[in-house]
Amino acid sequence: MGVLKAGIIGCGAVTQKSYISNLPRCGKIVISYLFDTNIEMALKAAKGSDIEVVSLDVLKKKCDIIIIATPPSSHFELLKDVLLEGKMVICEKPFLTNAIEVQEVLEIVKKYKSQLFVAHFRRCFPTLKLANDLIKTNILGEVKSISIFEGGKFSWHTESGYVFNDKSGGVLYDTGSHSLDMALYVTSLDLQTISKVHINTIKRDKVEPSHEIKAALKLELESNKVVDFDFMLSRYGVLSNKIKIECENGYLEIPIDMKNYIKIGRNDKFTILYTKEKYEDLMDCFAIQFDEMLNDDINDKFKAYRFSNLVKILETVRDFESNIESLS
Amino acid sequence: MKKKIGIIGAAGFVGVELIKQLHAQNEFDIVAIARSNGNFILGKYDLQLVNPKDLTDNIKVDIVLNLAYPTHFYLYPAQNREILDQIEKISDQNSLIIHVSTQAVFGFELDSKIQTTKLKLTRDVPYVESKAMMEKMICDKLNKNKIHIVRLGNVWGPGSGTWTAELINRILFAQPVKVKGVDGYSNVTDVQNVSSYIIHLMESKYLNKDVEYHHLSEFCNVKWSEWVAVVEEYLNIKSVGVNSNLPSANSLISELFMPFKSLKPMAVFKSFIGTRFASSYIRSFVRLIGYGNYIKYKNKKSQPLPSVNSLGPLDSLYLNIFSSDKEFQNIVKSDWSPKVNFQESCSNVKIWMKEVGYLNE
Repeated sequence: MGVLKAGIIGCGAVTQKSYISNLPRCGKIVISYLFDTNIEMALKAAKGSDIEVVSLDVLKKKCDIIIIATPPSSHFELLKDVLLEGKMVICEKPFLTNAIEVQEVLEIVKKYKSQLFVAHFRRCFPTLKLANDLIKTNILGEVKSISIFEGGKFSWHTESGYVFNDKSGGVLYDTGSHSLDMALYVTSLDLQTISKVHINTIKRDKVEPSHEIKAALKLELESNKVVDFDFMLSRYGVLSNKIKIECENGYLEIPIDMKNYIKIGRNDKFTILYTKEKYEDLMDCFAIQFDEMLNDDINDKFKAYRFSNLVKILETVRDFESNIESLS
Repeated sequence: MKKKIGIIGAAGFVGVELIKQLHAQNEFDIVAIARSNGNFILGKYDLQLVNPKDLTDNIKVDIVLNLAYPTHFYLYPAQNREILDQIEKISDQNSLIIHVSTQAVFGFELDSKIQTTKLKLTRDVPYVESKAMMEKMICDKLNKNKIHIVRLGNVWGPGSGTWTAELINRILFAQPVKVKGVDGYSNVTDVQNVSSYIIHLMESKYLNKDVEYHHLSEFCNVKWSEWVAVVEEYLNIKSVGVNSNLPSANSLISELFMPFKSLKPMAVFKSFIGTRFASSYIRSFVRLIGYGNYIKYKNKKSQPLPSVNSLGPLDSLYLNIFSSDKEFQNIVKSDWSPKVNFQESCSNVKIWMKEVGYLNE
């Protein structure tokens, strides 16, 4: 396989700050084309490189890999269009904003023999592999409950401002899609069918897009098992930034940040497990994800079908009319 | 008439606490200069919110407080100039300038001489260089104004990512927080006290000096072990430490020579005998002299224990700070007293720990 030509649709912050410098690091992909409805933005992103700014039609025809890096509410229409080319498509997270769209997109993937991946680069964190391997051994038994805390002062500057005005742009989608996915991936709940998402309580600081949200859910699996699923997300300030997974025989705690250790314990005893895999920079994992996608026949961790449950949970929480109150 | 204060970097950790205290006092009109995140972080307060890119010369304030600092590793001089530009836009010659700096201007490990005077710029990590440069730029450029430079100790409090959350997370995940046999000065200042002191400066009479320097670190002589003990008690977890032999970054010269340390003849020789070619000849030689004789020789040699180096650069930095014997002495106005004491500071952190998922509610 020679070097693949990639074209990126959407030239906002994630393209400028992450894709342009990190995608080529995997060595098998070169960014050849950029497209944005705002041509100035595309030219700004391409400045100083050999990347061509082209029309959407040219991009679709000429490149081997199509990357969608636009705000989430535009993903569905774009995916429906570009997947018809039968090529490899990478969609930036958050993937889609409702479960019906996911179903439709997956059918197109099947019909046109395309490949669709979602760029959830935190799946490359060493801690997630370690925790996932441990859960798979079943030494801890069945997963009973999951609690997630992630928060920090929000400083990501988007070109479109969708994080402040799109109902799928709040902390739930922006940060939550990351941390909820980490939990679903580690516990392999992304591979099971969640038949229903029950809501116990939800509090948020404002209607979506919210900046802080606290939710207590129950995930009902097709096997009739139920997993408690609680989370708190904030753009106002730092939270404990960890995921706790309670199982029949003990618990796991995973730092949200990119570390190389997790905690395993039972009652008041615990130990720390380390993995030799260690990275210094978040962008190392960002670059590695593309290498893994190209080898995804063996390891399908980025394939689109694995994000159906995530979309379902986010959609259910987003559309629930909850109490509005300041949490912090 | 109320005085008008312009706060640059108002949506940051210190800025939000300060605005909370100012709002409670209701003695100042506040112009908060913050990027788009300020809209929701400061939305509930009665103030004028301005994006830095929308600043014009029309907004003039009596007091300028700068809390902003550069974030780019390479482009910090340009970012410093942007911040200075914002200060100049909202000030005139009568404006009081309060610039919030850090003890890190003397190096992360306080390896430069600590003094309440103008700094001499030295080469260091980007954060240290940028903070020192900003102090100099403000003093040089705004030399007609009254200026307070407030160098903060390690800012602790609910939601402090660098010190409070980091210390808690290190204890929670059994990462080392102490070096056996040494206990460093924490040089801590509580975020509530930082805000209270800044307000005190706004209200105080300015002494007739060029620039007034303040070193705020009211808990400077509280050792790190005392904060660690508090967190241990809250989490019901014992912290872990390391024995010693931390790689220290004290001397810039020693850092410069560090890469050459690996060029030792023995290291080169060991790497050579590890090659397939050389090791094959070595095995032949062992067979020639007799394997038994080789083992006898090997057993006679006393082998040192292998060294375990599981500490990353960040671990080393924190451990060097946690075990530092350098005290960043509190040098502040004598008529100010801290808003919170050690116990109150710890209690506030405990409440926060419950809210954000460290402790069961």
